[in-house]
Amino acid sequence: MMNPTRDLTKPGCVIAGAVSILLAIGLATIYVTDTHYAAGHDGPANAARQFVYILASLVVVAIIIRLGYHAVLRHTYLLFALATLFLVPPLIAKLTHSNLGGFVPSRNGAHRWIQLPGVQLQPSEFMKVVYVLTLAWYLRYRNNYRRLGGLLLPFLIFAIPLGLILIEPDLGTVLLLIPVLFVMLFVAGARLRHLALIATIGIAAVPFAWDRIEAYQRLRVTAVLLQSESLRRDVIAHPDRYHRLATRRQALEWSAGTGYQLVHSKNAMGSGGMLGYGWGRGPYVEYPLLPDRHNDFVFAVVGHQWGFFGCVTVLLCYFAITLAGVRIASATPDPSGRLLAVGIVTLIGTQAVVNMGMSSGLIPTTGMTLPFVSHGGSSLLSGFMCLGLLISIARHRPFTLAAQPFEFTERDTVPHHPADQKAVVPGVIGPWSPARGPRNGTSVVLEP
Amino acid sequence: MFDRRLRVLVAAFALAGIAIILRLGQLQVVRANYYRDRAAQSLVQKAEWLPFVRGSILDRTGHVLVSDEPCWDITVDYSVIAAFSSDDPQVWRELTRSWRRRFRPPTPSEGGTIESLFRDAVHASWIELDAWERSRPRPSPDDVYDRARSIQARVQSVRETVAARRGFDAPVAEETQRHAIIAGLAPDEQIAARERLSQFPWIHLEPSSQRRFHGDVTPLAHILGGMGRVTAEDVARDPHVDDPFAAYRADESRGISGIEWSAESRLRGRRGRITVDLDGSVIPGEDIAAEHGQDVTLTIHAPLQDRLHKLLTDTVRGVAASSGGAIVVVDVPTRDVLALVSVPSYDPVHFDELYASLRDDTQRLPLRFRAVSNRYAPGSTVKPLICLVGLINHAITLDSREECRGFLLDDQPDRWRCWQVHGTSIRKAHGDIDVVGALTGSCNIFMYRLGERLGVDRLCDAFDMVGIGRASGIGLKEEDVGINPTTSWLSTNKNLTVTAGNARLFAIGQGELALTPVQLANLMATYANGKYRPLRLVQQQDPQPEWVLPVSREQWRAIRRGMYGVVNDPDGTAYEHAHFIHDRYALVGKTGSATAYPWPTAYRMSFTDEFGVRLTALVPAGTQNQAVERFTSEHPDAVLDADSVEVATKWPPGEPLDGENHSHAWFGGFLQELGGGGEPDWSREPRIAFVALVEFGGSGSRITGPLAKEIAATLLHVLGPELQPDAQRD
Repeated sequence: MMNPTRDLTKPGCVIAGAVSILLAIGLATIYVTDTHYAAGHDGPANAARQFVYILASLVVVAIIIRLGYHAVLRHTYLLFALATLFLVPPLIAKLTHSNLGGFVPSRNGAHRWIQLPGVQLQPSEFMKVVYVLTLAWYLRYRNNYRRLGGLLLPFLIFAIPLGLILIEPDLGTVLLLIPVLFVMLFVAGARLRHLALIATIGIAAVPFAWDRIEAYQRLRVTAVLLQSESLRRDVIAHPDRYHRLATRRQALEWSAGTGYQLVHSKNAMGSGGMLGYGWGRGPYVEYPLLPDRHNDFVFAVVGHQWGFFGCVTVLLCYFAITLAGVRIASATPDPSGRLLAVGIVTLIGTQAVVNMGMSSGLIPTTGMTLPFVSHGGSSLLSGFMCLGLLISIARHRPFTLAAQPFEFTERDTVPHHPADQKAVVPGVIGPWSPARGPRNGTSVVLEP
Repeated sequence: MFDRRLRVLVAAFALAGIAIILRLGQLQVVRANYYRDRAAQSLVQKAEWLPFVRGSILDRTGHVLVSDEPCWDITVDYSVIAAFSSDDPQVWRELTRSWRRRFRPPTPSEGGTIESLFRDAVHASWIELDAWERSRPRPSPDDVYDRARSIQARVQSVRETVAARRGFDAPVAEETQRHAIIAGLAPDEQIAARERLSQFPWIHLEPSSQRRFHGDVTPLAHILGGMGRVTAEDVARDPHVDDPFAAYRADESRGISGIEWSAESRLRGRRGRITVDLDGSVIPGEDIAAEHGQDVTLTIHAPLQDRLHKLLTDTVRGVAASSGGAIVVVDVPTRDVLALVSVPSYDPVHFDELYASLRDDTQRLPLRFRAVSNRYAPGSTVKPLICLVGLINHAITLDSREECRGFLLDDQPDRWRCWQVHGTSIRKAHGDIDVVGALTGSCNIFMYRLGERLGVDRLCDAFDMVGIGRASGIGLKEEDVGINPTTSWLSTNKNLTVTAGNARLFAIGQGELALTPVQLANLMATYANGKYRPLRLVQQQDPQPEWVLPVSREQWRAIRRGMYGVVNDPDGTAYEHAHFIHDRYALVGKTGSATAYPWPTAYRMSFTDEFGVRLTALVPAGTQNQAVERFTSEHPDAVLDADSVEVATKWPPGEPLDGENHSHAWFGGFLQELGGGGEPDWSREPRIAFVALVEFGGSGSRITGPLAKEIAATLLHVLGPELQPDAQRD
């Protein structure tokens, strides 16, 4: 039946290894931050919960691998509709300022979770995975996005769920999915200059959007900018110059106010030095000085315990996953598989980069968790789903002598008639069709 | 191409990764030590300040008069105080969040959010505090809610003051501290309070101290003074405002009168501080002990003060028209003030309760520190000084003689006259007298002529020489410096040009010339040993240099002989009443009377009330402005008829006993040692000088003479035959 080719065992092992290291680091850190002072209202036994979530997620991974990613992809649109549906309750809760009878509890003013008996789900986490799936499925055969006009439609379609997530409000997830969209389009062949144009328009719109985003989101940007002591002094001395950006009071009270978490995050990370304080040791482990140290800011605690080497290890694990994922993408001829692999890699990698940047003060706080390390059921689950899909792609490599998909030359702006297409291997009709999948292709696929 | 694009993607991630690694390097490699220090600092919980004990005030014999006594205060965190009257849900939300971890709801109920439970608990705690306050034995005019409000107002005004000084607004230390809502609990009260209030984590019982008077300190009330709350102006003018160990805080008290005020910097100590880490153990090297305030030793002899206070109180009570008096006793060589009596006085222990009635007693004015704050014309007591000045300036000599016929000017025999013999309308005519006789008989005519010859300027120089118009050296805030009526002063303040009439008046101690009892006591001491030196009230004050008057020994002998004659010669003005018979000492002194003007004690005014009815009110007050102010603050709705305000009653109410005017009565003098033969041995410097004043005591020595004898007897009894203030006696 299936014959996993040897080529992709290595990337698969690399991924499995890297993820295991990350899981271990995460569990170890969550465990020690548990035993010294319970993490506020979450209560003790975070580590136990994390372990259970891992096991549950592994089951899901097994299911996905068994089903195969194609099976998942076939039902993408349905999943997309479901995921969008799940996004509606938080939206309603936010607009009506209620928590829908406990169904959508609010935390810090954000309605992002759905409370089911025994477990809290975060729909936006699933939306991420489904988004990538849908994009991969949608883009796999189109080639009209070589033109600017053809590029706009995906943008518009995929703006809808982003909009829903944005209203939750969850700017972080939206900002994560935009690069994913860009990268998938880029890798699928859209012209760089078109993408650059859209990106420029987007960046140019930021000053206008500045006033539209929620106050607390502005505060987060302000908080990270006020890291610089010279900027703070400037704001204190000349508040009128910076009035759109930060108030004088924010600058004065930064280290106890909006900058509090960042200050402690940097303290924790920096005090780790080269080698760290050791597992379970160090003031930031023993005392609950850093908020969210078991989920959003777990990277800081990793740095605290294991120092520079610990942080670099985590970083390298993600890089390894990225490389392995890219290897899988490049080796897979199935267009949807390629796109999916790239999308997943971008998703995980960007999330990791954003979280690590946030912990070290390069990026405003977003609420992104560190995949596989942070505590959080939905985060783990979506991470493992990505993992499962990736492994599934690696395993189900169709042997084909067809042209590699997404190979364009510069002159390719008009859809070709299949008959006109230059085949790499003569005599075999490629899977190309302007509208649909292989209909009359006789590609040899070594899979049911 | 796909592969190429993939490579671009990988490169992008690699770049991001490098950026992060660089940042990590910056944090963890380059600045690791910095962050390690900061991490260590984060372990520190907020510092706890340790209170200091305020210094005690002792008298010269070592008795403690006032000291800090440990007690307990019930304190509440400022955040709860600030919120108690607020309805803003945001405020309560934040408050709930900050107390969340420490607050256990009394009943684990299902109903209500944590916020409403917390709010109910806070309200319940205020009710408990109020009930506790009401159950205390000593009633207080304000309740816990008033106190909470006033604490809030005070802290806010401190914050505004500090913000104005710093240039930007930021929270002040007082907003993170606990403030006393109920102060001064005894140890057993504290235990009961702890049991009752321990369920509320924002209520604490903290050790504290309160000022305690030892024994009956009514005679010393004015000297000791009292404490009051620190106000925003105190914070604004605080020289230590930037030193967190010494700066004033809004919930502290500071001296506001008397020695408590003048010795504030010595009595006040410095706080201590301990910093505690999150486990509650003290961080070594970070604990700084409190420095307690230093004690202040007064030069006052408390047993003497007590005796003299009682003596003066009895005397004043025996004079119907008298509203009070003062006695000042000075140690001549050192100019230490041994007694500073001011009658009437009050009991400082019950000051808070009695304050309103003390303030409103416009007749007796018990809060007035007469001995240092009130100035009176010295009358004949300056005549020795005038004679001295005449001798120094060669206006007269020891042999000069004058003819006193009872009046100065032939064409105006009813003006410039000598004094009136008591009980008659006859004016005294001394006949042909010299300096000594002029003093003994207190001849006005002699002085008029001398004053004319000297002129106002030379007289005023002399007054300045003995400290009139200048601070006496005791350093109290209540002190008045008297009036030295120089030419410029007269033209500025009274719009007068100087004439001979002024000089004549000054020469007999009347007119604009005025001094306080302490200044006159110092003048008496100057008469006694021929040197001028500022007075001293606190032993820790540095002694001042003395200045020898440019008067020869013969001249001094004459002057003192004259003063001796006042009391001890049959024709002396005080002989009848003040002749003190003792084998070792003679009383040498001078009487005086100052023209006294009655003062208003209540005003009458007409007004229309809110119903249109025209009524009359009687308002106790000392001045018209005070009366109007008092009226308008008590009756804001009434319309006052400003023209109708007039003096209703004054003190003294009756007509003067001695004819034309009321007079205050002075006696000032010193105890001179006798030699062989019962005559004074002028080579021996007297040790003690004193002054006594009886308000509205009439002219002459009828009242002050016997008083002076009693004072002399008391001095000898208390201080011993050697008149040594530091001898171990009584």
